[in-house]
Amino acid sequence: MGAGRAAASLEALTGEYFTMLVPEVSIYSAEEFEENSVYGQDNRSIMLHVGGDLNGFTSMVFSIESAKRLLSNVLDEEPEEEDLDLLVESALMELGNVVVGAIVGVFANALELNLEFSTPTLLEGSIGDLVSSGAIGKNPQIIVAKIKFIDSVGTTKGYFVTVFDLASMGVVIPSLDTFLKKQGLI
Amino acid sequence: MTPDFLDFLPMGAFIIDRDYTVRKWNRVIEEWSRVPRGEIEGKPLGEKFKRFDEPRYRHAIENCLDNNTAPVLFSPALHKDLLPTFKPDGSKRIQVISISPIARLTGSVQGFVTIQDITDLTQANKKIREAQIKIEREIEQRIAAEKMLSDSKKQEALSKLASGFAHVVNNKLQAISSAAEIAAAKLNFPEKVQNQIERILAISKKTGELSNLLWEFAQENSESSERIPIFNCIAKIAEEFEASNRIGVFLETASPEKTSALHVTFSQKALFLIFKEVLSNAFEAFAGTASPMIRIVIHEAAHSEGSQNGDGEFAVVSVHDNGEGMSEETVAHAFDPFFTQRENRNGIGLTIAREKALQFGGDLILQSIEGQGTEVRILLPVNRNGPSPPELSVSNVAIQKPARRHVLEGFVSSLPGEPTLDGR
Repeated sequence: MGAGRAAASLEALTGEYFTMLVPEVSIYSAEEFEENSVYGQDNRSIMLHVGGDLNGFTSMVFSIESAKRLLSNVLDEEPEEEDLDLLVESALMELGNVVVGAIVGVFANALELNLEFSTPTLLEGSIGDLVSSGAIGKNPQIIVAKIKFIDSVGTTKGYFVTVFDLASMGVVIPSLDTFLKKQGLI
Repeated sequence: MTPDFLDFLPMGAFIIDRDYTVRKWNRVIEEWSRVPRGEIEGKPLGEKFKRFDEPRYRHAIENCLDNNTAPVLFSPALHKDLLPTFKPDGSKRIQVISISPIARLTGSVQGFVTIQDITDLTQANKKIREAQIKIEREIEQRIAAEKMLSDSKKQEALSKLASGFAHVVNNKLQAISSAAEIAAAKLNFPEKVQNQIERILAISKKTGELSNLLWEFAQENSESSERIPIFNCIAKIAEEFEASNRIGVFLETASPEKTSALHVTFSQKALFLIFKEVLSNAFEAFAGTASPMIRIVIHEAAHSEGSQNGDGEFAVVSVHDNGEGMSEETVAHAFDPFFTQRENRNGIGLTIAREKALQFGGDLILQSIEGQGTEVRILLPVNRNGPSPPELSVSNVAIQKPARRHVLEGFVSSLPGEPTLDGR
């Protein structure tokens, strides 16, 4: 849901043709998420806090290598340094924000949720640290979607990670039921 | 948030309507953009900043405002000069622009635009990265230097150990040899026992040679390089070797003028040690050879030809013998310590010769054909920094190809303080 919109937004922004695939979506408790490979990796995460009907954050997570590969196409040159400098990071933040914004926008519209978003921030390091910090309540629910970006050069992998508190899931599930019924899917 | 609060923000900020009309232009953006609020408030943003009217920006911003989605973000790497602002010195600011929908706050479709200046942060980040790279390089250099120092200390310790060991072994060997000689001279032993005593003397002699070699090797580790005229030096070595071994040593060169001017950077002692070992190895390969002959060919300067010591310029001196040659397996292990196919060799001479060559920036390369002979190419780093030698006329030098070494006697000069092949 929202992958097509995200790809179109990226294309409009960069002038590059993008396809996005979401081959796998999983829901975890905080404990289960610790077992996920993305939990402790040194990554770059573009994160937006979400308020309104839901409470939590949503983020696009890239390994440094994936981030470099994605940016090499957009910036017309691969970042040379081992790490990413501030200018390159800001470009990554923009791309991640486009993807997160598009996916969450479609999600909110489909489920008829009223959401408010912070401006994006870039998180360096492990997203697991943020989840386990208790910032999103004691029993956060984590949705992890593997995402493949396919452009003219090749494929880049990333993760779309959404973390909501337990109360938010109480809002999402009935809204999802309503949506699926409207679509005639259940 | 009421619009007046925007003037208290420490960043550029303004509000736009759905049709891009600017509603509030805060003090910071007024100063940064040098556009007074009176000139832009109430007017479309595109009048002053035309790029906002480009379809890709309109599409992204309108979608954000209409659908109340997540903010849109424009990064400096991808959007230069979208809304240029300036520092007091006139340089452009590096900035991130974000636009958030604020319909829920104001009751109408509007966008809150912020301009975050990251110029100082970017420059500080760049300086930190440069410092980080510099520190990493310095650490690498320090580790390398410490390793070299550690290796050098180990080598020094090993040299001392080897030197002490050789000294002790020599004393003991001398005692054994003396006792054996006295016994053989004074006592009338049966022939079998006499033979055993001779064996003891022969083994003591070989072990003594090995011990001397080890001592020489250990002694010369601290020796420094000097500028050596290679032709004179080789001629001297050939002369001594020919005299002490009664074998024809032919010295050849294709270009006497060039070769006579050729200098190398090397240790003179190490050079004599290398040639002593290479020539001895050639000499001992003549078992059963009808007309034994050693040829030394001095080539003009050439490049590395597979040297371990890089692709520098080398003087190449080839020592050829027409002895028994070596099998492929022997060639492959010729420089391995204690590897020898001959009973009378200790298997360490060529190893030490090559180590010496490498130590002073040269190399040894060995080729051989079984039954035909062996060629050892001695590579020595060329030195072109010194003063030019006196002109030598070909007739004066009297070198022909091939020419026997003794023809060169008029040319060979003695080298000050030069060592001799027997180590004196």
